[in-house]
Amino acid sequence: MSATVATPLLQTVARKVPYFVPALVAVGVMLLLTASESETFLDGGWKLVLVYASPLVLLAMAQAPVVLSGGGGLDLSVGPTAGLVSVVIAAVLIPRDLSVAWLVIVAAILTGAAAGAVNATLVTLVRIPPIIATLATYLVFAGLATQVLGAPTGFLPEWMSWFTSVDGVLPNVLYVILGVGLVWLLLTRTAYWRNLLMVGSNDRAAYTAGVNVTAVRFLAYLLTGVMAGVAGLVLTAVLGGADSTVGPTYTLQAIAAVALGGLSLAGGRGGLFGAAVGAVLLFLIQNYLTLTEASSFELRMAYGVVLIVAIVANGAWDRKRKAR
Amino acid sequence: MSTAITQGDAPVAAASPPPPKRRAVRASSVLVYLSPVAMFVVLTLTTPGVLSTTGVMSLLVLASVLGLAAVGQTWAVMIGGIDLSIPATIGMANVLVTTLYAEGWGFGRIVLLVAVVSLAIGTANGLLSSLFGLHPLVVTLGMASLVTGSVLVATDGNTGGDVPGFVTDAVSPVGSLWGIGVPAAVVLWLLTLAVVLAVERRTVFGRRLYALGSNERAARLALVRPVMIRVVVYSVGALCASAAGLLLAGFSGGASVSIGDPYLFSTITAVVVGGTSLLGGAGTYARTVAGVLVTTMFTTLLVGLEIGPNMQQVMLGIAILLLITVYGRDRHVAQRL
Amino acid sequence: MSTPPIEPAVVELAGITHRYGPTVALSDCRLSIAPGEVHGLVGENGSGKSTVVKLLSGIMRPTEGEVRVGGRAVELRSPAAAQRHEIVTVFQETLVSDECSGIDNVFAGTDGIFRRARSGRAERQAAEQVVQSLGAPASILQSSPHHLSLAERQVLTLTRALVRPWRLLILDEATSALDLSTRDRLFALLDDHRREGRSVLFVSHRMDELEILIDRATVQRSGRTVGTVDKDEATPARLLSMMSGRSDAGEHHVRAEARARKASDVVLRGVELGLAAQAPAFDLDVRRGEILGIGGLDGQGGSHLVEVLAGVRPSTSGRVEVDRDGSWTRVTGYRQAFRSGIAYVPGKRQEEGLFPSLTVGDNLSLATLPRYSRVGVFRASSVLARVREEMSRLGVVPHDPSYPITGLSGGNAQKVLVGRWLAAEPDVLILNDPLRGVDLGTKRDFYALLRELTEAGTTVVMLSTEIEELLTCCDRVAVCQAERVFDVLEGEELTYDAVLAAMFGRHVDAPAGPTGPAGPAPHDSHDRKVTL
Ligand SMILES: Nc1ncnc2c1ncn2[C@@H]1O[C@H](COP(=O)(O)OP(=O)(O)OP(=O)(O)O)[C@@H](O)[C@H]1O
Ligand SMILES: [Mg+2]
Repeated sequence: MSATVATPLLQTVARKVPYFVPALVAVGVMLLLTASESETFLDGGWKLVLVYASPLVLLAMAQAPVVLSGGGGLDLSVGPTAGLVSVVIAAVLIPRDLSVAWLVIVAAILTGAAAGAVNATLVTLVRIPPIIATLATYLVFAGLATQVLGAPTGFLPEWMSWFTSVDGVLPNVLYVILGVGLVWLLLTRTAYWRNLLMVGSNDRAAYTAGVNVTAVRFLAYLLTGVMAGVAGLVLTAVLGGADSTVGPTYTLQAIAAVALGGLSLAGGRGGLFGAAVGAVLLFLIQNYLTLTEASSFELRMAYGVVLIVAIVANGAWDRKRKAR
Repeated sequence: MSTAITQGDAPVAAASPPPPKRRAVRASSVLVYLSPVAMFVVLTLTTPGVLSTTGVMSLLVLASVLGLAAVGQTWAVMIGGIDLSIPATIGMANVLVTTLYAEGWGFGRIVLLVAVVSLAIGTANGLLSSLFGLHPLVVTLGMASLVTGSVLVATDGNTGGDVPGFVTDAVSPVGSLWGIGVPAAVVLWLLTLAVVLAVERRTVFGRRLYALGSNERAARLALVRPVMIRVVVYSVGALCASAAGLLLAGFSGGASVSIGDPYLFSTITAVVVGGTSLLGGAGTYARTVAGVLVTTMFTTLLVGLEIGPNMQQVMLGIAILLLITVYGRDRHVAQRL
Repeated sequence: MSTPPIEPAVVELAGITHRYGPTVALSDCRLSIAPGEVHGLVGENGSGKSTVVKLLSGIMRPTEGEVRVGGRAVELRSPAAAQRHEIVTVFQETLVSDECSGIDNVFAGTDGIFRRARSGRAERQAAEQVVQSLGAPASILQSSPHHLSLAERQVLTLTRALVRPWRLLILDEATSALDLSTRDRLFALLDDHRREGRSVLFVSHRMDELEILIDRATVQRSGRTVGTVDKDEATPARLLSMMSGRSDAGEHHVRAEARARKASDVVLRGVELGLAAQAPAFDLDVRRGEILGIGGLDGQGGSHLVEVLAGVRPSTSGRVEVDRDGSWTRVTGYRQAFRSGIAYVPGKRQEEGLFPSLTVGDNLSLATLPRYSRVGVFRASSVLARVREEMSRLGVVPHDPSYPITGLSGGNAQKVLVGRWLAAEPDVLILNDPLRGVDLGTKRDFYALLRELTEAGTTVVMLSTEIEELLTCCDRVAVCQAERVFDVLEGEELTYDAVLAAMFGRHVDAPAGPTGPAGPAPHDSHDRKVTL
């Protein structure tokens, strides 16, 4: 409606490059800053940073499919779902000596899938608006987890330290993240990707074109649940124990990360990679602020400012991308 | 209401032919407004002591804090947004009031300062969420961090403090304003309620607020100023949240920047239980009031039944699901064609 | 009326009743479409045409009655199910996703949840072929549709239908946004398909299109099927009288006497206006009390021009000025324009006009509420009275201010939108294609209304994509071509051929070649097929 006064060059560039570029650039800047602040960062310190960032990264990735699926799609319950996985491991499996690796991993994925299926049913079949449905399941999952577990426990099977190991060339969690990414990549090669974007950006158009909107959205919530399950597993390992109260604190961060990564909260734009980049960015910002020995108060303040600035930058970038 | 130009849920002059969905809308709004009554009956039957002046007043005092906090959430939702900075604003007001009062500031000056800060928060929320169509969820989330961080830095994390006696009285169930036997907190809430509803129904601003929530582009062309509306909406919300923060100081007597945290979800819950659609363009604060009363009584009921906080949470979640299944379901895509 | 065809019908509706809540949209509706025919479906606004379309496309199932495909009763549970019966639809609303590329928009829904139905290459080839046969550039398939005009979006939705296997193609006013050349190509294409035995259900308000295209037509009136007539019986006069139940319905074709306005009495003017970066500047005067039509092919600047005149879009050069009590005031934005007495009725009804969650009354009164207010508080009774007055003036059905706007048919919703700005009693009323999708009866009333307004001193600027409409109600017509006003026609010069020629950058007396710079490629003779 208004004439856009902008350098054509920037516009051309903006239109060609993907949605997550601002976040990627910011990650680069944060890496430089972090490296200049901490001597050990380049010398292997980054691996540990990645390990600590991994629960957030996975949860942000988990958030992506539902956000993409549109219709106000959002899963507030990803945090509690991850918490629920911790509880299943610590309060259900371990006391019964069921701590073999494959069993724990399968249990984590199934727990996530079950949580995802509940959300999927509520949102797509019962048709409760996503924020409300997942707010309710947030309360239910978080309440149940704390009820069952009570106090945090620190007893975990030996093998789970694999997740946090940084002895290899790459930290092991990276393989987990890449694994999830790979599965997603394969998925984007199928028709599901187009279905998802179409449903996410304009479900009425998708429906009239013959897309099974309900099935596509259902699957998105299910995928989110599964990924949240994986995140729960990693979270448990990173915490070195089960604590039902930690998972929920990740929910809002995961949403912020998704927005930072350039995904549209209105649906239909973005991808899993952007979500991961956004999460890394968010974590690096926090990490850097801690490194500079800011007080936790200043940290929180600066965090807010950075978040707002980053979101504004993203918005400006997207505007450029769409400029005529 | 004597006018027929109203939102879907207000009673309207009958005319032929009856519009579609009218009956459904009526049924759901009757349900919404009846549910606090039903809840109250259940509560009095199960929990002794509720059916007394003190019992009712203590319920109302709790409800008025939540009710004030939920004004902003309701309007934010009505313009198609959401406000996650309400808890931070509550915390800000709470800390400023208690610490500054302890430092000997006059109460009037404190209130003025808190009001100015609230307006600044609301204005920032409104302006930022107008920029590039940024999603208010993220904007207000960032604003929440900024506000809480700033308060902590400014007060150096000081959690001491003191409140004037009349603030404590205001939230006391046996408190009374002007000798009418109603605590000042409740009076404040009722006044706010009256003003908010009048604005929604009788003012040009109110109509434009609905229009903005319904279709922003069309609203612009119909001479609505989206930025102005957003700034006012978030500012009013922040002011009311600050009032809630002030009242909360009366309960605790001390400062806590995180005292508002529970209000993140509880305000959303109240709006949702009231049946205001998160899609924007519809709903009213009156519905939120019903939601506030229901959730407050529901919690009281569970406490009375000696159900622990965890299971309370679980039950609340299930209750939300049941209520929304009855009256808040989205329409199928096909019905939106 | 018409002899039933010998072959079994492709699709048949029998004894259909459909209700939206308590509103009866269809009652005892009958429709039978034979193989290899183009079947017209006509009726006034709100007569239930789109409802029929939705029933046949699997959006809804009828409250009562049967849908038969190839003689068998079927339940069409979803659009996908309808497509499995080879029924494809282009809906009244252009349903396109802005985030997906054109090609994805075209092929979404042909795959399974995971399984792709065709390779990317096959998709591209199939889509390009259709798009090119409609005369649109294949580039619209590559980019996302953000920047596409309404006509180009319409081409996408047409392509979406045509690339699928089909026996019945439903076009619900799908030609209303197309420019003439694209429309003619589409008609030629449909002709070929018809010869191959495929059928088309064609919903349109445009008599000229119906005359060219249809084999039979079914007429709806207030939800009831009046009857089906054969091509030779389906004259505009006959169809109109069946639609309205009156016998005098054909009269709208009579063109109102154009009135000469004093050329010196200018109320709004564009001075050295430039609509796009490279386009040449031009001057345009709008005379007091006239109806100035803005014509031109889609994308040739007509829409830009009205937006610039209304202050909604800044011009790239030059200025727009409005006469305020004898002195020229520059128009700098639409708010300021409104204060200067200019009201603008936007074109895209759904996106720029309506508030779906509000009532008809609220939709109508929103822009003028401040006039009934003191310190921001409005007098509900005066507002309501004004709303009722405006609704009866425009004949909005149902006459109920508390009715939800989403329950109105397309044409009635459009009336409400026009009413919003009429209520402002502007000096200059600028309308961006206000009568798209409005039935002829309403149009006739609307033309009369515009006349009335101009008698009372209001000046009207109206964009229309229909030449006939421009001829019927305008005193002068400015034709846009290549982002500028190519010609302003009035009096004797204002003829169908002159307007059509100007649309393509030619003057009638010099039909040999384009006189304007860089216009669209001159089109061949079949443009002329659409004459009255
Ligand atoms: N979703 C709906 N809810 C309630 N009533 C509706 C709905 N859709 C249509 N109607 C009503 O059903 C009737 C038929 O509407 P329909 O859209 O089929 O008309 P139409 O013939 O396509 O008109 P137009 O030429 O204006 O597009 C109208 O009276 C309309 O008000
Ligand atoms: Mg229609």
